[in-house]
Amino acid sequence: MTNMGDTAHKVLTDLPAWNAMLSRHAEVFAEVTPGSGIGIVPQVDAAQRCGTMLIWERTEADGMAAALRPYAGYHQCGVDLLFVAEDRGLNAIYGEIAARPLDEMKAALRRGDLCMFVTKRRDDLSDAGWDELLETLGRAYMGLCR
Amino acid sequence: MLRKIGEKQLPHLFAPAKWLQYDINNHIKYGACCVSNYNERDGRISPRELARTRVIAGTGCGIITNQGAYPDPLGEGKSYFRQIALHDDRFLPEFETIAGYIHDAGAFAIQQILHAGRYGGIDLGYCIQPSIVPQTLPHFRPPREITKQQIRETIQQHADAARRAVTAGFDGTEVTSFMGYLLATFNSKFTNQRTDEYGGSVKNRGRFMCEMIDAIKQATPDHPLVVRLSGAELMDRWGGNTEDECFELMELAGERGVDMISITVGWQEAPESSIGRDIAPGHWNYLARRAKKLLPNIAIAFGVRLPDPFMADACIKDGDFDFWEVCRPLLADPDLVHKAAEARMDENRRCVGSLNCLSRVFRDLPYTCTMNPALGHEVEPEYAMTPAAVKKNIMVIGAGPAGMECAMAARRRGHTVTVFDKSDAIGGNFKSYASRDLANKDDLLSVVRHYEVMAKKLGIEVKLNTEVNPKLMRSVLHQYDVAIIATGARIDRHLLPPCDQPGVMIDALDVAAGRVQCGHRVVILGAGKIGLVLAESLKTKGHDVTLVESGRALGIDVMPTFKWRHTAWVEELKIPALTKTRAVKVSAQGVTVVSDKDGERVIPADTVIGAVMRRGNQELFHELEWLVDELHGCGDAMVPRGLTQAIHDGYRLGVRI
Repeated sequence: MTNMGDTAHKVLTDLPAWNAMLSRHAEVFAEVTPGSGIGIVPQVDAAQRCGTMLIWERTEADGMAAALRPYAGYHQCGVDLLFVAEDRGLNAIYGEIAARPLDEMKAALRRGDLCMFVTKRRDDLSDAGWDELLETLGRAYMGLCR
Repeated sequence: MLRKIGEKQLPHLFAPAKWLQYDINNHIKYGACCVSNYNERDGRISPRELARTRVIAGTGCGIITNQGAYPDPLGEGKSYFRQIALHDDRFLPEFETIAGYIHDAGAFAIQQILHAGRYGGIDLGYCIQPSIVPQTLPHFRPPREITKQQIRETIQQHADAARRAVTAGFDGTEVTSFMGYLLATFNSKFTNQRTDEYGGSVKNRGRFMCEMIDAIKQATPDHPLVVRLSGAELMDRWGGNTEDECFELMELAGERGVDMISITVGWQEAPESSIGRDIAPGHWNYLARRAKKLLPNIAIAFGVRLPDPFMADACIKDGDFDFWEVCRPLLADPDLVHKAAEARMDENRRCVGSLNCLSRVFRDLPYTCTMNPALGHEVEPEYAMTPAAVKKNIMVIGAGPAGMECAMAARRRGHTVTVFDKSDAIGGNFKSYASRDLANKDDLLSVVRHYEVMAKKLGIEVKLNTEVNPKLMRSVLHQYDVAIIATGARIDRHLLPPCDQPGVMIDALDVAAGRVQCGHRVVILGAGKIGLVLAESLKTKGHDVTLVESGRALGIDVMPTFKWRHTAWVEELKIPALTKTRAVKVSAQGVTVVSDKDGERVIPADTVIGAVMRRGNQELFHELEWLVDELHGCGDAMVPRGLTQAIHDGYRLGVRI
């Protein structure tokens, strides 16, 4: 079940494109440990705690891979980092999927079109191999009064 | 009655205030905006803190708020490694001392109680909040949902802490709902997703606040209570409160009998700035105005991004708020209020909004201030301005921040000081870069103006257009006892690639100072703060700019709290930034660069600016060694860093010569 619109659905379910992106940016995910993953969920689904989540997950066999999974709220999301995306942010990232999607994620985070939730402690995220991604997204440290 | 000339110029700010039944000296409240991190790990107040609070007590504010203490023994409310605690009577002696300092200065003493909620549990593996909404900032602890039993205990802990504060001699207390602390997490629907009586409607979300107000009022019935509340969370896009909801909560607090509301802006995790240099002073005043209109019978305190007493005076005159709540400008200059009262604002050391203070606190370091090198060192005699035992004739070489700080400190101690600079103005290289700052160049240039004013007032002779070299030194032999080398730094040309086309490659400093003009297509080698400032400045003037950086990230030498601002500007201005890319050759065609990702390629350029790492201008150390009795160095001439270190180096040297 999902609440997202057609565009968001198309973006999230284009697994070949996401898998190709993950391959192209393998260096960012090189340290990610098996079983660790991040999720991207449209804001409308996040608000209703029900919907579909795109997962980027490290598998034992195939490295990073994209998949879809039901989303039922923060508690059950089962990922290390959860990105909740407004349609605008999701479309912008997808629009750059063949070029600079991670830069666009960073820009979307800064614009507020994307919100990143961390479900593990900083040290656990580091152990799971997310330092490079956090650095790439400019989120290595942002606990600041601005 | 207003006696001093400055008080008459700021009659509304300095008029005696009546708050409830209390007579307050003026309409200025020292805000507990920043936890110092000076204290013991168990929450006991340290001698360092006591020395600091003595300075705060003497700032001249009518109301002084002591920094936030966490109220619970477990430390779930503890947000900073060395935050003060108020969960036990054993902490009281130092609170008594602080209350005494404040009263001795004739001010009204408020103790803030700070349960950090979502940002708490710094020594624990978790934090508590109304609902489990994960952190958006990796720095903080994973949340646990607070139970109803814990809510009751937490409220009781706040009431007990308030009672202790009053026992220690404080006149009133304050609870803070700032930026994601516990009270804010109950009030906000971003973090409060409960389905019981503490969640849902504004009234239900505000229940925790109301019960807390009740409990504190019952515990300290004869003492006023201040609540800090968000006027805007800036979190509404992510499910947080709208401004309207923020004001509904203020109304609830007002109905519950709170005696003063202090308006705050923004959550830590909000995607936009609230207090940085890029926010114009006065930007948030409308929130105070709305609060005052909504709650005309409750005192409103406000000071978010409002650093100027003249603006504050106008706001009070217009009825926007009742008390100017000020903190960071008083970190930069503890004498701000006195200077304003005496019409000496030209001597004020303005807070430049570098956020050095908060950058450090959130890295679990004691806070310091770019503009005030003595801050946090009040307990150390080595930082005190004491008369020099032997009065010396001192020459300072370089009129940048390091040289001028050293000159001012030495002059105040009784030395005779002459500053030499080869350029035609005070300010050194800093002035050139400051004038290209995109955020708020007036903030940075105020530093230079301060030096110009103080040189005159202190009687420091400044010899501009005068280059110090061995020849000049021989001509003034024995006239000076001490020479201070504060000659700054320059781009290290050894780190630049070879250039076979004269005139194409130019120095960043020459560009910043306006000595050379750039062509339309500009490539900047180096994306530290110098490269970034030039790139942003040139881009806004219509140049086509590319940044080339051999390191993996931009702004490696930028203050952590401002790094995001530069990278955001680079993105907004669409400046291509090539990281992990090395420049190998500069020619008439442009710059040849190499990276693992893209191999070798040429970036066309009319001008290539060298903005790589700098090295100190240290030649004079060798040249003057046998020409003067004492020879010292400070600032970038020693190790190139930046404004904060230049100011601190210069001061430290000036107070000990």
